[in-house]
Amino acid sequence: MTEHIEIREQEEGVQARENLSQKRRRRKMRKNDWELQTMVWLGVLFVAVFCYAPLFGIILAFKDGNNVLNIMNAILYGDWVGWENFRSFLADGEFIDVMLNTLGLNGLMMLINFPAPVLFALLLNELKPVRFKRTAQTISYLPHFLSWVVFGGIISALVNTDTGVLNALLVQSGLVSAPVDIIGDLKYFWGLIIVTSLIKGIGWGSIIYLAAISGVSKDLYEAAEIDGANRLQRVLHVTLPGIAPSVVTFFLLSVSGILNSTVEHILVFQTQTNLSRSQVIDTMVLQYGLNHGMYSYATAIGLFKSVIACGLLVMSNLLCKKLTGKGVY
Amino acid sequence: MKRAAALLIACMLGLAALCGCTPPGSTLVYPDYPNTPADNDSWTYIDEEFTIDWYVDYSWFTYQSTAADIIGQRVKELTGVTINFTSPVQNDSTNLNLMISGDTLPDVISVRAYQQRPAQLALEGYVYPVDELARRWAPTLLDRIEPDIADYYSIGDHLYGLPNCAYSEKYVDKADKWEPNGAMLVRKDWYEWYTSQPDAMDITTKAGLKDAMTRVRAQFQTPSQRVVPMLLDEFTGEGNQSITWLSQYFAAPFEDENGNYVDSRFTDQYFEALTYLSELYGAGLLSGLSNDSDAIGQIISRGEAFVTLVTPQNYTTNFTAAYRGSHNVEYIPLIVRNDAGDDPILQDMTGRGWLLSMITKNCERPDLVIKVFDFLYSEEGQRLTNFGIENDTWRWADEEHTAIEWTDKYVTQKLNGGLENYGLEQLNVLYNPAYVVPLMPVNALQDYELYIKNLKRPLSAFSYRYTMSWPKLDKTTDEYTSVVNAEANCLAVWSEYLPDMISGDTRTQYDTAIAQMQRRGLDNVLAYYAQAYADGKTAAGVERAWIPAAEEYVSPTLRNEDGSYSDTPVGANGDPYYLLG
Repeated sequence: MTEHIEIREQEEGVQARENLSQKRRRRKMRKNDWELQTMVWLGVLFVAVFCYAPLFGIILAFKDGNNVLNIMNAILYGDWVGWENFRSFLADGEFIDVMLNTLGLNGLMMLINFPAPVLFALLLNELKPVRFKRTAQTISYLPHFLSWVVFGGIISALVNTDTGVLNALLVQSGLVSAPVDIIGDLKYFWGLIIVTSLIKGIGWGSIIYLAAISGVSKDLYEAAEIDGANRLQRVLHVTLPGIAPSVVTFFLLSVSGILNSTVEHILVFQTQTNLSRSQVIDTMVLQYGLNHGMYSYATAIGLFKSVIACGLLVMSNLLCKKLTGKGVY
Repeated sequence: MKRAAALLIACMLGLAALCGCTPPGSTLVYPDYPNTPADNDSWTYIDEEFTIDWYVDYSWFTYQSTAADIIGQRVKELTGVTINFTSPVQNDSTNLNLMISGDTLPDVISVRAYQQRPAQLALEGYVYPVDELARRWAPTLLDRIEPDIADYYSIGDHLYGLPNCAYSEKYVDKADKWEPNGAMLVRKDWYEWYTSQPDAMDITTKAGLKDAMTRVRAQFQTPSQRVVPMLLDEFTGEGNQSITWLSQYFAAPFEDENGNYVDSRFTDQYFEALTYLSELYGAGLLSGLSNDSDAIGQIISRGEAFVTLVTPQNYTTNFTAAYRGSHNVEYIPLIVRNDAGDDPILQDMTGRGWLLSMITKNCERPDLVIKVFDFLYSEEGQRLTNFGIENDTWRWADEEHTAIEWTDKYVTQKLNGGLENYGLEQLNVLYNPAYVVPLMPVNALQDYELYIKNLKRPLSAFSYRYTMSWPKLDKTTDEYTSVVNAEANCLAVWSEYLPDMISGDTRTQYDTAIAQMQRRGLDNVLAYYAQAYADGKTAAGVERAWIPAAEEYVSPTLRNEDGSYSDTPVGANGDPYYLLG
């Protein structure tokens, strides 16, 4: 019995000493690693200022802050209206169109634009001539460095029905009998967004997957080759499983962002003629919030989107865990 | 760590709550400067130099500062002021909204007079009443603000801003004919080719115009020469001006047969304009509906459009480029009538105003700024900013001071360069065209300038004042706020459906748009306007305001050289009597 007690006291003493030394180590680390600390705290500050502080504004979704001049006055002194702004949004004639556009456009983007960089990275990886590979990579990256305003302006000028080169070529080559209004015609708008997004983002988006591919052990490829696997089989059974964690992570992020649109991308091509196919939640928030001054209404739309996006993230994470055993949390 | 992060977040939330937090209903504080006597022009009492920041909520305003040009220097000599201007990139009011909510409004703002913001800014204490400022520090300005303008823009008992492009009755006689605001112009050589064809139809009819467009395209379109049969203006969040202009050609009324207000968009004539455009669209005769103003300008510059249905004054550089280009493309006005053969009833250039300039509560020296307003609004200020310096660039042509002419120096500099240093016609935020335009000298006009000035003048025979169709609204009531909000929502729906009315099934899209607008309060808007319209007519002592319904209305006939009217009806290209030169 006494032996037990002695052993226990000894163990407790060791534990206490370890705790003390851990605390000392932490304190020492904080003193020595001030550069790291600064970087971390700047990041925390950034998140606090730009991500958490604005959360205070959510109140506006439940107050009467439409067409007010001073937003802070509306937040602090505006009348509570409960769910009125949400009800207005759901009853709005635009609601169905906007949801359809948001989900449809982003859903298609996820189906087409999400796997495209993966595929492109796999193809690049299979290229043997180094010079050609680098040239292809550089060309594919270039559009990323143009802003959407510039890039969109170039595309708009090229496809304009009356002044664009593309339509002139199409008509003169006899492919179409009359110019095609690619920007204005509703049936082409989603295609325009997807194609321009691909052109601009496929090269840049493939970088992360190329990095992941380079991390796959060469031994695995050699082993597969010895086992008689051809190139396609090596891609399917070595490369793809090797980059699966990265793909899953980005897929989850994409799912949570399915209601997020690249506002500047859509705005640059948005005209009155394509509004019924180009108006998505984010452009609606911008239009009602900043342009029309309907702050409460816009906040309610934004909050509605955030809640759904949050739910989607949780669901997709669960699904991924179930299917692949991997998730982001 | 967790505790520290939680504390930080709490602090941020608290800070966010306090940032920009000002109590509602801020009250204006008038600075304690002595009143200015009324015995002389108020700006002559300015004895110090100062700078003001002036925000113009319109992207096409590109003038930046008065510091760099000769007229700006002269303004400084007279008033001591240097004005720095800023303007937004887009006309969506985002900048203005951010400045208001962030309490960063500059000394002076110029906002579109027909929007809700000016009244809201006035009623919530963001801007000084200019009449009150004038009473204290610029009494001579009170005499310069014409009663009809003061009455139209007053909110409650005060006037909070001064408009530009407002045509006061002081300067505009009811008998005067001003050119129309929008116009249908046609490329002259192609038009003459069509009308010279033995089987040409009457181009002033819908069918005739369509036939002309079809045949001109077939005749002149080549791989190197594109033909845009009819060019429409840009579709924006405020609708489309081309459709408005065409509806005026088709005489869409703003009053019914009983003298009650109607929104011309909901008339048979407007619908006829829509169906006609839809028919042209179906035949591939319209320009792209998604063209922006740059693309539209390019088409005009290249002379590719056969018929343009735009607001010509917005594209003067493009019409000039086409005219001065290698093909010397010239456009002339054209009349087209509705199925009933009614005469066009075109809205003339005279209007209630466009930009309203207001002095904000952030202005530290409203006592000085109001004196600058007084100067710029005066006839002296108008002459300086538009014609330049007396006896330097212009001089009086008669002793009664009713006409002016350019000086030799002006003419020389215009031909050889140097005129750009003056900054003429740039400082137009308080522009009074009703005073300036009739005075504008025509000596030394170059051929292309005369051409531009005359582009649509022959259509003056068909243009009339539309001011009664914009009744004064009582902006102090709660109902006004809900009505203008509903109106803005309705306009958003209307502008969204407008292209579809042309490219799709017109009737379906038109009815759907109206149904959606009704859900957004259209009926309340129309009822409010109808009441204001009736009140306006009562105040003016007018029984019928729709032009053809007036007793004195007669179908336009050509005018003789002495100004008298002949018996000959005005032809397809208007009345040449109104041409300058």
